[in-house]
Amino acid sequence: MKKLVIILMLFIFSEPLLANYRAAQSFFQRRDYVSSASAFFNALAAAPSKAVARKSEWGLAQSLQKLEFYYSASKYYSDIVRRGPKGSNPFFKNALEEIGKVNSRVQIGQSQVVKLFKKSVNIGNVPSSARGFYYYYQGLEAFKDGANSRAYKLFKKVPSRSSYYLKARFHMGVASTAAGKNNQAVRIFEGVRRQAPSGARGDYLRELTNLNIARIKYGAKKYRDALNYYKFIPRDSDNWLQALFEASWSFFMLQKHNNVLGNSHTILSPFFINRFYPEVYILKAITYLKMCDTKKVRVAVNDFQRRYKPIFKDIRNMLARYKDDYSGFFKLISNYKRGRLNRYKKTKSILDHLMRTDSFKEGVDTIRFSDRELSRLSRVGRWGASGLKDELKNFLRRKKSAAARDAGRRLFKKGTGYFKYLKELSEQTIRIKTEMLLKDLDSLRRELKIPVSDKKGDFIGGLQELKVGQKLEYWPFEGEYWEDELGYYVYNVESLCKKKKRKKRK
Amino acid sequence: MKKLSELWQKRILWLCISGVFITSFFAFPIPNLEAQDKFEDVEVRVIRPRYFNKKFRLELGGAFTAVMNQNFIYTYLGTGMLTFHFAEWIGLELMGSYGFSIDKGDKSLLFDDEGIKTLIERDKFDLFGSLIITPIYGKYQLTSGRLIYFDTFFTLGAGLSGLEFKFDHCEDSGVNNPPDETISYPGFQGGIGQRFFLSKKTSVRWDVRGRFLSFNQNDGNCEKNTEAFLENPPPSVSKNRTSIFMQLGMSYFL
Repeated sequence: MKKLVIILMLFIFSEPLLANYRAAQSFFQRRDYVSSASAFFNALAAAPSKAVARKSEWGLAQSLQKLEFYYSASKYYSDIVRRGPKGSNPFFKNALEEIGKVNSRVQIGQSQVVKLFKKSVNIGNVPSSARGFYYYYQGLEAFKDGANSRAYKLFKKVPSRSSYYLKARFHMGVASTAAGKNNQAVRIFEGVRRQAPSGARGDYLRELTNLNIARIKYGAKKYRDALNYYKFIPRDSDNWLQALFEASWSFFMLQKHNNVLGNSHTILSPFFINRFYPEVYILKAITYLKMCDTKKVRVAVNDFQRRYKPIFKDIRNMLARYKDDYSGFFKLISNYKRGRLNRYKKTKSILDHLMRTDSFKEGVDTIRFSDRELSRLSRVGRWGASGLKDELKNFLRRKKSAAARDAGRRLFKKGTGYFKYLKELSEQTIRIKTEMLLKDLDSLRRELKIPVSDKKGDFIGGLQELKVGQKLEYWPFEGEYWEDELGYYVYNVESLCKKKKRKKRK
Repeated sequence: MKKLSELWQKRILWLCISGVFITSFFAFPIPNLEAQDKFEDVEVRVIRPRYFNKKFRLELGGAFTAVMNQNFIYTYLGTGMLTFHFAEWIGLELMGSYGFSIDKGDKSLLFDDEGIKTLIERDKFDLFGSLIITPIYGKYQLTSGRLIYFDTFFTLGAGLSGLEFKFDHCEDSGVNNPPDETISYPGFQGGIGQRFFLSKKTSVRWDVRGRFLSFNQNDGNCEKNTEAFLENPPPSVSKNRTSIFMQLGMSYFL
């Protein structure tokens, strides 16, 4: 009897609290998602039981998703998924499925995804539609930890119907390359190339596979094959200049010196004045060295020092300043991108290079999406009273600062690496200069061991091999750069080695 | 001078076309333009597949043509062109035009104010064969960064032109007006033009050509059909006529 009274009392007292949830449901059914979100939020705050709280949380996430507040929805989906699969968390599977969909629409960021699976999950609890998402991110984590073989296996488990399938296949190729399985990697990359859909995302994936195959071919000393893949990188891509630069090394190995110099001419043109390719000067110097043109070797080395030596101090100061301020470093790069750089101006080329990395682009995307939701939030007046607006604002602000910090940390690491690389190159120029002073260039030249067998065939501009009967057009370079000519320059100079040998004999 | 029969006019036309075409190969030693265009003495060159190749391609085109140097009438013609390019720099073009004329206000003013009616011969059709020489191939860059390739060509040819006589100046001459008549005359033409390549198959083209012919003024005589005229025709009065044509059109390369 006593028990019955208690139950009755509980029922009577919980009835007004349940009213919030019922109202929220009714709004949701009427598709008034603005009201339902607010009502679910209130119901969640004052839920009489765990079951109602879980239902309200799910309803809130769904309402936000319907309103296209994807990041905000992901907050609640993440909360649900993080609790793991258990009886008291009935929406685990649904939330996992939804967050996978949200993530393929707006990248919620790896740091947020990783937190989802901190607790190990039995795969039976992952709905089949979310398995692609699950395995893909597990694979990325394993790859980040250097467990290539485990990463490969995880990527392989991504179902072919998943929207993560092609990305996972691409990473399988990357993991295979890292494990030294080049043939397997090329096979996988070729598959991705074939299957990548048309449109911006597919094009980007195709571009990355081409770059990766080219690099594998270069590593396998198949320079001509490497060029055949580099040439597929479109001119309007951010990777084009990188491909041109890497292709220059292939030309160097094929002893196509006029092509090496032609590509360098493009990379060092005023169009790319802020791009970071210091190695081009070294490549130029050693190309001229191979051509026995010591004057031009000196010019290339001096050009490097003139361009990069003065920026060393600025880079050092910049790295010291942002050593413990990754968000600040991210902001510095953003300022550069917006043309508002007011300090460390000499470091432009490094900042430019960092600005083009995926780390920076991801950070920018997260901040952009967060800002978009913040701005839309300020227009939803009804959420102010419930406290939902404040909670979402805080979440989005935290997300923004986390994105800036994470990206900044990765970018800072890269920036430090670039500086180290620059210093190494500078040492190389000093060495070349010293050898020149000692007139011991022959020893340096001997060090540049290049196979002589693969010299046949000529290449025109654009990394293309000359075909028999092909109609060509020639334009002279007379000091004026034309945008359409970039990438098509070929030098027309002869090696001085024979001349010098003849002179020596005399 | 007696008017040439139609058959002879045709014979002369084809003789001219063949002559121009055949002699052109001897008259101009075929220059090795491609070799010259390689800029072999330049240290840095752009070398890439040629954007637009014309060699052994057939060009089909259409154009709107206006005669630019007439005082009393406007003449507009629709023009069709068929060009075969033997090389990048030389080709043979067949061109046919057909059109109509409209009187300008000046013509009626002249009659209203001065009572003068003029004998006007109107360009009705043209049929010409020309040698087309293209020595210039270049490119423009627009401010947007888009690149437009073009070439500049010269034409030299011969053919038949049809002049229409309306005899509307004969109203007060006291005889029956002869019916409207179009008479063809052999002529020569030379011109200059440009093609702007929109794609690897299409181009927009303009050209200006000057056409020269000589016709017998008696062909426009109001009394030409009278017995007196036919029995005792006056000596023919040859008159030179130069027409400047402005053409704007498009062409498609097969």
